Amino acid sequence: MTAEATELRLGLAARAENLALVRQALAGFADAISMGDGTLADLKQIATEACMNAVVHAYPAVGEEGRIDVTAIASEGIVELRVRDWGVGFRPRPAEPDGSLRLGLPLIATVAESFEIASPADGGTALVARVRMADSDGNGEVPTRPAPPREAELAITAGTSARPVIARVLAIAATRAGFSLERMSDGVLLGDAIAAGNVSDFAENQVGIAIEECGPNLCVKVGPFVEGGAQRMLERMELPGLGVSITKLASRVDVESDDAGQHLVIEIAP
Amino acid sequence: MRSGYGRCVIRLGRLARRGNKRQRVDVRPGYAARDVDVVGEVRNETADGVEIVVLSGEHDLGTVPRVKEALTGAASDGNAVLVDLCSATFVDSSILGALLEARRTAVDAKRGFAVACSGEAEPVRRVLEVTGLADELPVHSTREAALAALDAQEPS
Repeated sequence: MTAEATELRLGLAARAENLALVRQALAGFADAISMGDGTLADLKQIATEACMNAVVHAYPAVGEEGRIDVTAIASEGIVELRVRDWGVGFRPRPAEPDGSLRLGLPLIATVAESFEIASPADGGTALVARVRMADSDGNGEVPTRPAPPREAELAITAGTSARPVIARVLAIAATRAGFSLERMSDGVLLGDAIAAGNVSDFAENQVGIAIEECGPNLCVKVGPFVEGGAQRMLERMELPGLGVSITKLASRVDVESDDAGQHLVIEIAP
Repeated sequence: MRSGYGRCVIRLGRLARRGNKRQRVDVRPGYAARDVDVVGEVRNETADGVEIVVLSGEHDLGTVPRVKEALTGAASDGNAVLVDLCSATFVDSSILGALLEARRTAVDAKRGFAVACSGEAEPVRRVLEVTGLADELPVHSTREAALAALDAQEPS
C-alpha cells in the first residue's frame, strides 16, 4: 500500500441498525476523496450485504453480540473494502430458514471488480472486495474487453511440461476439424516438435499456441518468439528419429511478425 | 493498529431515531456535500383503489420489519398493491426479498402487484436490474405507468 492511501476503519456491534452507520461513514469517506456517486453506490451495496451476512449468520447464539470490522482503503484508483467478523465462519447454506433470497453474494460479485471470502485461522469470515473508482464527474477508466479468439489460445511454460498439453490440444483440434487418424497423428508429431523447441527461442519462456480453422484446414500459430527464434525452430523441426522436416506435413509454413513479436504459422490440411 | 496511525474514536450508544426527515450534512468546504437519509421512511397511501407502499430513503435489514408490515397491511383488504421506490436511495437484498415475497402473495391471491422506480433512484434501479428483478417484479419507470399497468391487469 502506498503512502497516499486513504483509510477508514470502523468497529461495530453486529446489529441491523449499524448498517446505516456503515453507509454514512462510507459516504463521508467518498466525499473526502472525491469519489463518484456510482462507486459510492457500489461500495454501500457491498458493505451492506457483507455486514448483513455477519449480522444474520455470524453470531447465531441467543443473546450473543459479536463484532464487525469494516475497513475501506482507497489507493491508486481502487477502493478495497474489508468486512471481518469473528463468528461461526462461512458455510454453504442449502436452505435458509429465514426465507432469505441468498442474493447477497451474487450481488457483491456483480458490483465488485473482484472479491474473496476467507475463513481466517482465528475464526469468523473475512470478505475483501475491490471497486474501481470513478471520480465525482463520473470519469473512470473505460474497461476494454479482450477480443474473442477465433478458436483457442493457450500459453504454457516452455520445456518438457509443454509437451503433453500441446499434443492433446492439437489432437482434439484436429479431431474437431474432421482430420483422418493419420493426419491426427501428424498433429501430435507437430505438437511434439513445437514442445521440443529451444526454451530460449520463445519470448518470456512461454510457448503460446493459437489454433483456428482456416477453411477446411487447421492453422496453428506458434509464438511469440525472440528475434530469429521462429527461424531457428523451423531449422530444428526435424521429425525425431526420421530426419524429415515437420514442415513437409504442412501445406503452408510462414514466419509472421507483428507488434506482439515473431510467430510461426503452420497450416495443415485434413 | 500500526504506529503513527491517526485514530479518531467515536462512541455511539443506541442511535435514537429522530424523525425521518432528509437531512443535509455539511462537510468541509471543497468537498461535495451529499444528501443523507438517516432512516428510511415507509408510508401507506391509497389511490384509485390501489394500495401504495412508498419507500423513501435508505432501506436494509434495519427497516425490513417496517417494510414487511406495510406490505402486509396493504395486501390485507384485497386491493392491488403498488410499491413506489421512486424516492428510495438504497435497498439491500433483504428488501428485495420482502418485495418478491409480497409479489408471490399477490399472485397467489390473484391480486395485482407492481413496482415503480424512476431513473432518479439510480442506485435502486441498478440493483433491480443487476439482480434481474426489474423484469421479474415488474418495475415501471413512474408511479403513473405502474398504476396504468395495474389498471390494465384488472379484470373488467
